[in-house]
Amino acid sequence: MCFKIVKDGLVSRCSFGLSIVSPTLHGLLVLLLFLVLILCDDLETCTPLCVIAFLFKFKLLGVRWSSIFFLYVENVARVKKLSLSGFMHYKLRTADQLFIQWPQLQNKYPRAHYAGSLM
Amino acid sequence: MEDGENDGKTLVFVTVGTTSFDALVKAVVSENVKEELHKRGYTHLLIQMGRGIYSPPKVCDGADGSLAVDYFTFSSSIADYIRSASLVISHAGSGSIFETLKLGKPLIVVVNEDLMDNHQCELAEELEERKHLYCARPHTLHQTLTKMELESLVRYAPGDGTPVARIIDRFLGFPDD
Repeated sequence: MCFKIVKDGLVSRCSFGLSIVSPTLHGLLVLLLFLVLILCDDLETCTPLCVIAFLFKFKLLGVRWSSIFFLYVENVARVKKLSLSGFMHYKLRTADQLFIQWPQLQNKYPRAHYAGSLM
Repeated sequence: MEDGENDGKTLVFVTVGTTSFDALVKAVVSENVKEELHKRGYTHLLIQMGRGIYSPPKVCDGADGSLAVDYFTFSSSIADYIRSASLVISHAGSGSIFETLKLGKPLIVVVNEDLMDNHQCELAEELEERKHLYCARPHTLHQTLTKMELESLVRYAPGDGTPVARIIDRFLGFPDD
């Protein structure tokens, strides 16, 4: 109960402050707090969101903000090596699951999951 | 061939997607390529030229039996053009490739050598190894056309998103059935 009040209090103060500074950041904060799943492809625009989501999964200001499940699906055109975003998420372990669409990548990146082609 | 023939018209559809690929357009309307296509029984050539600058000369129903050529820049959907074609020649974009393969049309993918980070050719070469399409460069297009055997191409089986969907369901707490 106490935890919830503290969290809500922090959220509403954060929210209010951010909405004045930047409506985009405010929207992003609200989105991340209620977000449960991010399913992402090889798009540069997704990367900042994914990195922030990853940070949010941990305790920030003593509070566990959210538990977002982040799935990264590598581009089907990546047959021999990962894209830059994919490589970053693989090495930094920011993605909970990283899917590849070609079996050749499995040997180079053993922690990735081969689930077949999605196309 | 049954499919692709509408009123005795056998269409070759060329697409460059949203890119600019003048080298392919020029290669396709070059004399030896048109002659080879004509020899193989194609009657019409339709080019979707995207953001390209070079406009090929239009040729109405070939008088002396040559190929009829037409072009346009963009269309909201090229699926109908692909469906009415007997052969598709495409740039190496994954969207164009898979759209054509899913519609079951013979496909020649031409890789743009002027592109900087050319990972696209990986996909085209992999699919060529699996015999789903032929892969070429603008200057080798004529060679590929002379040597190709479209009957030897293997039909592409569309992929399946179920394994990924199952993992998402499991995380969200939906039962596994």
